[in-house]
Amino acid sequence: MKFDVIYKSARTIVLELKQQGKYYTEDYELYVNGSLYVSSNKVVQSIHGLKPDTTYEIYTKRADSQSEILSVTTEKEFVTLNVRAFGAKGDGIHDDTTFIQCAIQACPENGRVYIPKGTYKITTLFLKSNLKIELEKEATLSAITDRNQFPILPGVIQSYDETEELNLGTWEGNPLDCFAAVITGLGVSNVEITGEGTIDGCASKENWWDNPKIRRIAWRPRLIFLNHCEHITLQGITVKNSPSWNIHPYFSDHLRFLDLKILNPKDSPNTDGLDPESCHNVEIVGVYFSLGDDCIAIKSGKIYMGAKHKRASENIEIRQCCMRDGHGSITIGSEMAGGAKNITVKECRFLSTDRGLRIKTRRGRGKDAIIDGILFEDIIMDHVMTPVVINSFYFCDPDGHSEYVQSKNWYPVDDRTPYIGELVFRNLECTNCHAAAAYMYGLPEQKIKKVVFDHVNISFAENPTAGVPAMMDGVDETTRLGLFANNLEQLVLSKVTVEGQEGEAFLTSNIDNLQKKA
Amino acid sequence: MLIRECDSARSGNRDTMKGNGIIMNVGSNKEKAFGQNANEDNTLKVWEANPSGAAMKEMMNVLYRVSGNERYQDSAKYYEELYCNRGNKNLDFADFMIRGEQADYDELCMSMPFFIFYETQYNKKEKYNEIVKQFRSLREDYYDKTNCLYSLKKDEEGNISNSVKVLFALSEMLMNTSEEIYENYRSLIDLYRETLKGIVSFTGRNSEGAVKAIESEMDESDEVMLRTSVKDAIQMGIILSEKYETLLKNSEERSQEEL
Repeated sequence: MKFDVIYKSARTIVLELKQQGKYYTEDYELYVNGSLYVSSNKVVQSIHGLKPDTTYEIYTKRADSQSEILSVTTEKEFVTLNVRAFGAKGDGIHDDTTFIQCAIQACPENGRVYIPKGTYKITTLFLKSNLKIELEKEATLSAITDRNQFPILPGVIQSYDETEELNLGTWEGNPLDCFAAVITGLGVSNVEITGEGTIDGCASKENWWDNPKIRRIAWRPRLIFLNHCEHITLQGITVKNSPSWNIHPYFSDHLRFLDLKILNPKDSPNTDGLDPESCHNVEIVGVYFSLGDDCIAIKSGKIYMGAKHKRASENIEIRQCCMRDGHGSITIGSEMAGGAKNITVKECRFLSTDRGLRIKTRRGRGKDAIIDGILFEDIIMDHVMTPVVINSFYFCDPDGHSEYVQSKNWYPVDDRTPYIGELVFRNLECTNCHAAAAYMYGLPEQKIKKVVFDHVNISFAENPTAGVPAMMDGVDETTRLGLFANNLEQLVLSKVTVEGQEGEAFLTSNIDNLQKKA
Repeated sequence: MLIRECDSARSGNRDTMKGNGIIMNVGSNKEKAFGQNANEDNTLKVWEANPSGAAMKEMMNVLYRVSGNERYQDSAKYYEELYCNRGNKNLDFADFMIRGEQADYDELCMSMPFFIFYETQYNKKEKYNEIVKQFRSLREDYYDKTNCLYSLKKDEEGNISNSVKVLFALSEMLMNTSEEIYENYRSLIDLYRETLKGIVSFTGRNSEGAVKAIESEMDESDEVMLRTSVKDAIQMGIILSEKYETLLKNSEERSQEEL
């Protein structure tokens, strides 16, 4: 049993067992300096409560085997700033925003803002560069829900010479006024938020989720919003009950999300789990999602932002995550006018989501809306309605049902036409599916370039629930529909099985180059 | 909302207004003139001869905005209801135009604010693209790139009065456009900023020719429309207030001189 140390700070170490399962593994024991630290069944496991600049001997043990002992020295730390010393009460009654913000502002490089056990009512905390915040177990940052108390991030502020603009707020792919998030980073770098505590947005149908599609003062806040940030790590904490998307990195690079829990009720509106938008170099490892919307939605802006910045989301690795409930486990789009490239999803477990991979695009997204280099590898899906959906006719936006968007006829390729390149699905085990094995529909004028299914096994539930595999006009609810593919340049099916379907296992049409290998 | 209280309405501004080529030459007797054309229920007699309720409604809105007289507001509401409760019939671009598809820019400026209002409130914004396209075409055909002003006819020299009308129409439209369809909203903002810059550039000239042109081309209603539009744009956050203080001040001074 081998493991890697994938993160360490002065107080925390994160381990990742190698080739031991997908998010969950067989029970094992984790020992630190010879003492049992925890019995776990997670592939990615954190160790908290460590001392700075201290060497620890770590090993894992099962009945039949023990790993080698690894010696790990934690980072140095200069000083701890306990928010209680700055006046925070943590009684769940008083507004502690200013006190905690004071500790953040006062924290020197290599210092730590420490939030001990307690419930701290806050509105927005603004991050600064070179900052470490640790939430102790049973420490909760509990958001106030009165929108009148939240700062507003304006969508666009014009420069004095009227040639440029500053974009602070954003809402669903457009630069619009929004409330600052509970945790907000604006142009900051080198920030680590770690620990075993919780950030609770306290959203409910009595406050933020009441009439959620209407702007009131400004658009709803996220729980964590990172705008133009770099080198940010979130580790260990639980985030829940977000007013809208839980974690929203925006035009930010070099981001790590490790061993988090992201929880929202199944019926909560627009509560995506983690939505990197126009971000580069993102690592999402060991994160557990249970949500009312997409678990991870990779975005790059709607038409205006995509055309103006042309900044794709790219170089994203998602590993050892568990997605439960929600619409899509991994979604690309629909706000993806800047493109999405080089995205790897591996060693993950999708449970009871509507779709495994969900690509949402449409005519009009623009020529920069390029999706390419997508790899899904070593994934288990159980009770996922449709494991793979690639929809080039997604009916979003006011003109979503227009003839131009929904027509299956050929249109000239122009500046409005999106592009889908190469996608590979390798080693997928999909059991108890319901609606369809896969549903892939490209544009006739710009077909999906290449899709590879390699060692993919898909079987259906005995009593499947009907569902719409893709949200496009003319697609009704289905059960046990086989692998459907239309308008692809190349489709490779290598060692692919579909079992329990009704009708043909493979329904392919308008495929220029179909390769089937038993 | 299209109908709302604005600074000029609140202050009971009694400036005169000139219509965008339809009926608004009411001068100092505008209320009287309006009254002559009004039925008991505040609807307009001219409505019967004018198929474009949208344009009329918009005119009423403008009159209300500059006069503060709620009678105009009532009439505006009437036209709003008339057009927005037409059963299942989806109104189209032509429904908002007096002269159908041959509409000139005058008519576009008058009708598009209400068309976009209708789209926002009642038609899921489905025709936003079409409306923005119309204004882009307007720019293609009527924008004089030499003096950065709009002309009355294709290939004619631009005129500041025409530009003010376009400016006013754009700010009215922006007030009724959903920001969520940002690409359309932003297109209108960009057109607005460009139009305003052209006006600023022209009015900022100290040449004798420019001064004369302003005097001859800009009447009081243009000045009111200019100021109203700029104040609205500032309030909407579309332009920076500190950049247009001089423009507003100069316009007010010209109005004072006129009086």
